[in-house]
Amino acid sequence: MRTLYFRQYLACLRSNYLMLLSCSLGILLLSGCEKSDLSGPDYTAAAPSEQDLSGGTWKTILIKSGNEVTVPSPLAPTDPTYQQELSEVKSLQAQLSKTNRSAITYWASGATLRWNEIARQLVAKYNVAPVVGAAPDPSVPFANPVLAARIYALLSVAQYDALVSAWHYKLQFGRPAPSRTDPGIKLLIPASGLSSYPSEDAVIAATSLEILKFIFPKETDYLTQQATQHQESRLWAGANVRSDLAAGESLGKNVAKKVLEYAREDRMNLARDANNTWQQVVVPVKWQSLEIPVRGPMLPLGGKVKTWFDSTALAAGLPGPPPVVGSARFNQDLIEVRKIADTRTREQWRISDFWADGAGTPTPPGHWNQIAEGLIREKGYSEIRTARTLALLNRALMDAAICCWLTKYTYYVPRPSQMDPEIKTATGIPNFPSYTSGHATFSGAAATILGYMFPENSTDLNRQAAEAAISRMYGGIHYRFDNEAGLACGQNIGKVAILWGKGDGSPK
Amino acid sequence: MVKIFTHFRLICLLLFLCIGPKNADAQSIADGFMKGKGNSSAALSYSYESYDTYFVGGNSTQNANLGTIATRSLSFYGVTGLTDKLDIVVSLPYIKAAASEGFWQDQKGFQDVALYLKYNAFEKEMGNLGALSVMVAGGISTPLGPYIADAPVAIGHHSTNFDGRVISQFKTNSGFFVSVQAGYIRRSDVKLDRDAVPLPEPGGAGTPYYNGFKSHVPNSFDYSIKAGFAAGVVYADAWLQEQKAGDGTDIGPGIPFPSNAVSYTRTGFSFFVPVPFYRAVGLGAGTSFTLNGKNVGKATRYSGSLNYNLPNWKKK
Repeated sequence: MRTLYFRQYLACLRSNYLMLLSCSLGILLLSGCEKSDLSGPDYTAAAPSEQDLSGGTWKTILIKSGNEVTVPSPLAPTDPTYQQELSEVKSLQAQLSKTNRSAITYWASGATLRWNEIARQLVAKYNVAPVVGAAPDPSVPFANPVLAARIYALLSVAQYDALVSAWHYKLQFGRPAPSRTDPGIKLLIPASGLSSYPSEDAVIAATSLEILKFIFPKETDYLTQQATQHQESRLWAGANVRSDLAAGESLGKNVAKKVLEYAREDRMNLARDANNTWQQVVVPVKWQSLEIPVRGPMLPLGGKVKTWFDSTALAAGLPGPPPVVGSARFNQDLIEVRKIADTRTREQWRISDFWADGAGTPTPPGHWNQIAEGLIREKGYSEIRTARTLALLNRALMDAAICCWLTKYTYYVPRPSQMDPEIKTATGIPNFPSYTSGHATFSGAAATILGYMFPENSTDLNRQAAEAAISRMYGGIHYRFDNEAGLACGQNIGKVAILWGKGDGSPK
Repeated sequence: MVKIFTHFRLICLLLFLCIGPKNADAQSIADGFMKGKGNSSAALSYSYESYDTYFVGGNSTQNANLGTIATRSLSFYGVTGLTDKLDIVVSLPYIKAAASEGFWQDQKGFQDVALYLKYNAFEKEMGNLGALSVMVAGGISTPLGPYIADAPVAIGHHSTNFDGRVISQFKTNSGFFVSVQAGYIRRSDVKLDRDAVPLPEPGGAGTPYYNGFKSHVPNSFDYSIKAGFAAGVVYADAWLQEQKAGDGTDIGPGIPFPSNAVSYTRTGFSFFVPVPFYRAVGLGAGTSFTLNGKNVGKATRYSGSLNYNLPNWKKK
């Protein structure tokens, strides 16, 4: 009986195989479509119109000057060793793979920016709160906004100091690019007119590698692979020879060493408040963790970390006390947050989400680095001016983190949802006190310092800062007074950073 | 000829192996029954689904900061027989999702409007045994509004989906039936509110599932098998469904929710009875359980529906 059913079934199928075939093909077609390629962004090789040849005289940050780290004189072009290096480039160029070629363009699109991008990706990867109660593991740092600001600052400062030094020696030695010495070498990227010794790319690759593997020891293999490819890409491109790279790498490593000495002494290692001193602070209504299980607040001693800029000038701009919990102003601002939460529009949600930069993201400082990257690419900056821009921005952002955290752990203002549990949010509630808003402080500082360097974008930058600040009210996690005080404090930090920028000897 | 026969065998294999499940939402969108020309019915159903345990990748976990996530939905469903061999189906759910703990805002709104066509490719009476039919169905579903998709509490993934499936059903003259179906759902990329950063991939292998404001939503295979009884006044079935997602991400910090590869195995039961003395109206009830899954809640669902069979529009 069963066989009969089956036979009849097969008979049916057989008599209609054409129809079945076409339908099945239709389904296969549906499943065959590939998803679009979301890799990128891809940029073409940069061709800065201004190479900032005076860069070697610009004011350095942690090294004393551009010539503090010594770089040996290069060999003469006629030296047989150099001739051998030229042959190496030629033989490499004779067998370039597709991967080699894409690596050339990838790194030539802006080496400082590519390493900044890598840093942002690693911050995103490590921006994950550890399990409550777990012992801290230094090899898996929690790349929260404060730590992220420090990572970007250390990276940018190291890149900048090392490039000032590189520019100093470039001008001193003036070694022509290999393609100028040997017509058999094809330059596969735009000509820069810079001396090829020491290689600025090797400088950037080496400093970035040293800084990032210090922070993210578990990423050493990945970072080393990136740095090696970066350096080799310069040989493939016909832009450097091996000794250009070696001199650059050595210079970069030495500068990074000095930056890491600074990092070991900046008191960030104390910021997590291992003895929980924050618990002893008494304020009338104190912040409480809203997480289940309760988690200690993020970096209670983050405000004690060493600042990059003049701490007296920064202290002068610190926010005063917030409205007292229960006062008219406090209640008014609390009611405002509740009202937004009760009537939140899709657009308010979008703005909240756009600026949230929470767990698993490059954090608000990373967001501002991305904004800076867009402006830098638009302008086609040289590597050294790119590094200067990011070093000013990231020092300002780290100082913003420090000033904001100092304020947070002075006043311990509760989050809106602690005061009114009916306030529902469009973003995660950060596990630390409300006043002042980190987003507002970061954004005030970033928009101010970037506005100084990109004056024609100043209005738009300030608009973005204001939106970043209000996004936290749209999200339901900050009061208006958090934002106003944060923006003002950030703008002051930006102004202090501008003073440094004005005095660093770089032509406007 | 040899080639065609090979294809034919492949198709048979597809039909037998791909026991086609549907999304619990699409549970009634494409079944093995045809309306017949001029016959229409409309249904309004309410369902309650909840979970306190969910799968991150394949690992089951709970989140005290979300508690239980409950989803209530009110769905409209309509079907009409355009011809004896062609049905058109529409559906539109209104969904509300809320977490019992923490502070994430509830989400509510119309989700995706769906339109399906189902063609009864062939039907064969098999004497006293019953009837065998094979149907093909294709549909599209698309979000009706800009609802929020990239949040722990959300009502959908916000993609536009193209769904193609084959259904085969055998029904005995006494009313017992068994049907299998297999389908493939292709989901469009979605726009995110934020500029999402893909994690670095050592060696640069593969392309990211999301980047910038864009995210893929993994496609999926869908298989199900259903057995039941449909005759006279009652209908009852039991089903087993499996959705298997293509490449995608696991739930994680900063990872857009729409890019998660959602797979699951669910089982469920449903029955339907007409109201006494007024047989145009019927009442349905159903339940479903998530047995296993990836990047999905271990949800249990209960639903009830009110169905109305419209007068045949072919007759005057």
